[in-house]
Amino acid sequence: MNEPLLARKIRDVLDSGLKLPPEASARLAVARERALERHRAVAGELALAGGGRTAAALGGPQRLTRLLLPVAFLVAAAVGLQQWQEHQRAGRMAAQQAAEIEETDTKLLTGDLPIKAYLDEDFQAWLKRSSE
Amino acid sequence: MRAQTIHTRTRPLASRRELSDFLAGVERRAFKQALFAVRDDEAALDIVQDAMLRLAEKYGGKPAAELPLLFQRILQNAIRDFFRRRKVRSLWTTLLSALAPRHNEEDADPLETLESAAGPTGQRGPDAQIEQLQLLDLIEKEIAKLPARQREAFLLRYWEELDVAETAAVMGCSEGSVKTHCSRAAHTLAVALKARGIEL
Repeated sequence: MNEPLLARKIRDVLDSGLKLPPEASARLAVARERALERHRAVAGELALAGGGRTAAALGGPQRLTRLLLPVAFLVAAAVGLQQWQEHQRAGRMAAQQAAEIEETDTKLLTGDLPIKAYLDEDFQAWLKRSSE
Repeated sequence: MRAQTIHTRTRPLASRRELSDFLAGVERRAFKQALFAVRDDEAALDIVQDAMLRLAEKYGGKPAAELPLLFQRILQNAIRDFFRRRKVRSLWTTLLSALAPRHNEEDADPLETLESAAGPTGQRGPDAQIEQLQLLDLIEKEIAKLPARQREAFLLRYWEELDVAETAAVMGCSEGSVKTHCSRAAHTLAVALKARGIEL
């Protein structure tokens, strides 16, 4: 048996039977059109993806979002921490200043302030500023 | 086909026209291949439609010359998927047979439809046309009776005209297995035809 020769003859016979019923031909035509529509949609998506190569390089928009979200959270946390620290420092300074004034007032009232202090112009100016 | 594949490898995307021409050229043979395997017109049409959609969706960005091999791989996978699903469905049908009436898909002979729709063949006389249709019917039935892997190898190799390496790639087996399947299929077909007094 000559296999290629037999196969070629069988192929010719099979080819002669490729005329399909109209319903089958119509279904295949519809299937082809759907595939072409899908192809056009995919080609459109690929063209759009060309504009977002950075996102694609990072693994697509979803992955980009997953990467950026924690970074944004860390930045927001750092800014918040810095503001809180400044607020604390300002509070400490205000408290220290209040303690100094309180100490001076006490000394003034109890007469513990040295006599030189009353003659010091800078001290007079400071007292005036603090009382305002 | 192989040289053509290498030549066009740098082309980025099969155009709509190329894809359309390719599908139009392959769809009837694809339908027949699926029909030989599943023996059900509707199922065969669904399989071809699935294969076309998968090709367009997953491999629309491939060069046109790579489409035949990709399509055959998708088509053969779709046929295997059909049998897997049918196996699962038949398991449930068996389990629920007391509740649901049994539907035998094997009763219908899809080749009867093709027989009636085959139509006139060329300019032959009525006797020659009848003989040709009978021969076609006989060959299609014998091909449908072949073991699945032998049929797959024979049709890919000799009807789709893939070479041995390409057929092996589509089937996921060695080139030696392809040759064995093809040889056995051809031998079985030759014996079946000879038994009917037909020598090609």
